[in-house]
Amino acid sequence: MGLNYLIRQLSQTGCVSNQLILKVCGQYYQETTDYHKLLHWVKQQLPVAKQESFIQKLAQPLDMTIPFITFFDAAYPKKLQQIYNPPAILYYQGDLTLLQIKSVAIVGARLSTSYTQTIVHSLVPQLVQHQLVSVSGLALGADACCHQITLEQQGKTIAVLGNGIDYFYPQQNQVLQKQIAAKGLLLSEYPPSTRPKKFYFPQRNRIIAGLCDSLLVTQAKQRSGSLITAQLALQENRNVWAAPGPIDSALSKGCNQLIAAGASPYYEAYDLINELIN
Amino acid sequence: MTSYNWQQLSIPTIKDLLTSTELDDAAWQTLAQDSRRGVQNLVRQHQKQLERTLKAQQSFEQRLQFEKKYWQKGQLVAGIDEVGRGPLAGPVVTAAVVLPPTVDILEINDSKQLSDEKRHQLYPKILSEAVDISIAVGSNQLIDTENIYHATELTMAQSVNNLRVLPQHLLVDAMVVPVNIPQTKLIKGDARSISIGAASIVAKVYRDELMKNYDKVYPGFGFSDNAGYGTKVHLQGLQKLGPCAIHRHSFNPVKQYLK
Repeated sequence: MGLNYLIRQLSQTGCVSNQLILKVCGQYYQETTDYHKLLHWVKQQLPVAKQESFIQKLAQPLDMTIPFITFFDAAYPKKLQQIYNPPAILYYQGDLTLLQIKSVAIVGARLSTSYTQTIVHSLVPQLVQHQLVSVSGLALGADACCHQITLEQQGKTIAVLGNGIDYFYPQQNQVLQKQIAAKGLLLSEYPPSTRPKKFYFPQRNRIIAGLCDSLLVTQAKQRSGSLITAQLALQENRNVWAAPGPIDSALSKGCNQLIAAGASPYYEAYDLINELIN
Repeated sequence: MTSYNWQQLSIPTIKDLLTSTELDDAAWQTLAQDSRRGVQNLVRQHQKQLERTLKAQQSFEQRLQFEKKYWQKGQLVAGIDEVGRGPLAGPVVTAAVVLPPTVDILEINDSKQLSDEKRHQLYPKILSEAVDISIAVGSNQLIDTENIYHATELTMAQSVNNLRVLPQHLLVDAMVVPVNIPQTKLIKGDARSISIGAASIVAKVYRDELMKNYDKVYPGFGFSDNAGYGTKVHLQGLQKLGPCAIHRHSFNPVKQYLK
């Protein structure tokens, strides 16, 4: 049994962290390719309390018809391989070739205003014209706006989910999620039927930051998920852009702070695209 | 994370460290190798704690199995429950609670299995996490004219109809709500579904508070302690004072005290 099968199986148990899956891969390349020895090694790494449920979950049948790629596949993007704690496995639905194209992540507040729409409208048609891909997280507000407008412009978009690929969340984006599966690409590191959990979303953000070449924050409050994504993108050496906003707008405070801290102010698409394609 | 040379640390120091920081699995593995009995005890305690949390998580996921079927399809699910079918006085209270698929309040359970204090702790948590909540009150007059079962149905329907979001599916504890929404009737639903459990907690806390206030308006029946159930104090009050405005006239022994 190959490494991909092992990764898929470990992921399905839900007991093994991504970091530990990556360590098993290290074991596979350095120590042994013996399937049972590797499973035993994983079990040893788990806290005793988790071991029993790990063994039980391993015994459950595995649906190998659900499409996925792993860190070791050619389809897995190089730029994502280089981040801290890269996802060992990505379940997907849609067009995998999008992973090889340069992309811009557009993120922002869930409760964003028409200002976000204005910003997205100013950028996305240009992205599409240059055959670049947009990336976001399929949340309400800015994320949905990014995907929606890209699709309207007949462009390509990637959505990274904080739940299983077969789960529709949030409910309001159900139609959009289906459209992205058909015309773009849905990605998730969580096995099918995984319900969304709050702490999955910051995890999901690291994948968005890792997948993109540039990242634009449209509107963000202080200490928000969008700022986490921007921070992660900075750590991974991505170009980070933020749309400046009024100083008395709570929804622009995060963006203005990003600019003060060195992010490029976004005021027209030209600069962002120019930096990306040159 | 800073790594420590555990062997060199005294047990009280280790104890202090454990309360102030969270160790990763690898650090616990190292500690497990330590031969000192004090350390072994700490490791055992930690394992027990971990097992408890794991059990709680597994049980929580298990009690979300009905919700998940609909959440997965992108549908909203409301849990419905009722409190106060048995008491001799006061209304029947129903709650409809719509939880988000991200809900993580592990302690939610059948309100009857939780202490009053725990219910009061969970009440604001449920209110702040829920997508929507609606509480309906079926008066003692309604109960007397309709009978308790039908009054409960009507009140449940009201709590569903007053939701601001429209759920696509209802999970109900052993009843059918007369509304045009697909529903699953679950026996012992409050212990089997987180949404129904949440509804049972909300309805219970709401009704208990309501009865505490009624105790001030109609003293002498001990409503703040018995919530309208037929306790000794309550029955003595009935005998002495006769029924008050919130007594259910159709219920025995209230009937006997009617003039």
